[in-house]
Amino acid sequence: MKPVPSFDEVIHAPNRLKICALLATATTAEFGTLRDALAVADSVTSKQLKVLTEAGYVKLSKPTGTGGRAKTWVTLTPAGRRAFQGHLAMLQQMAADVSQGVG
Amino acid sequence: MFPVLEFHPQRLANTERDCYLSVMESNGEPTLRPSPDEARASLDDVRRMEADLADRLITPWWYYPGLGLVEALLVSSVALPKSLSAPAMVVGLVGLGLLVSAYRRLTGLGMSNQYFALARGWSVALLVVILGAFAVVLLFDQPLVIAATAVVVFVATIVLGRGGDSAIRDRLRHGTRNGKS
Repeated sequence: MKPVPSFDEVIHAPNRLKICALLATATTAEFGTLRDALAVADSVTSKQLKVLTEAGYVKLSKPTGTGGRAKTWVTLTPAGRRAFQGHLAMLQQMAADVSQGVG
Repeated sequence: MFPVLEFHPQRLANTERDCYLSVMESNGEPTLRPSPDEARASLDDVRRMEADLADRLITPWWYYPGLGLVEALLVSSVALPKSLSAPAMVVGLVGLGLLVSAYRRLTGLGMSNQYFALARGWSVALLVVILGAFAVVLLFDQPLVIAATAVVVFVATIVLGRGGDSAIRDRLRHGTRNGKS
């Protein structure tokens, strides 16, 4: 089903958009993988994930019982996927507007 | 004569539109909206992130041979005597769980159903091979046929699995997802 274009202020911030872009394909990623992909510090990644978690777009889990240091895993929720797809559709619409304006 | 300075409201409006962030009203609350240029820059960020993900989706060399062995065991298990069939299935499923867990730990990425969507043709082909193998094993209960079918499943898993991986990376790198080009 084609997503409905909808601007989402929570997702639009550059680092949060990148997090959602990665999770839209991978669905789940480890905290360190996201931090490395963004090329930012742990604290910046945590801050962005907190905003996304509060919006209900991602959920965090820390599986235990596997031994060693427990890692934090981040999963895109169905609401987060819908919001990202709608936001992406809106960006594409806006970009198409500027392309037509230039031509 | 001094040049006459004219006021051009349209030019001012265009300048405002092209600002990095333009303020628009939404339900009475001021909302920050991107300009069209910023929208394009954001889309470039999304494409770069997908290309970055393609570089991270490097499947360990042992993953598909391991998966092939597990699938061959599961297919063969249906033809085994009942006393051996259940333990073989349990071993296969535990092996599958260990493989996925090791993959997640090494790549830092989860197993996503989006991967299947990105390599639909390869995924469907592998599914057809596995279902066909189950049918053959159930219909022809002969050791030689079962062994040959297990070998076919093993080889098909490696070939189709790696082909699917390449297709996923290619689509992510070249932005052919969601109609982007």
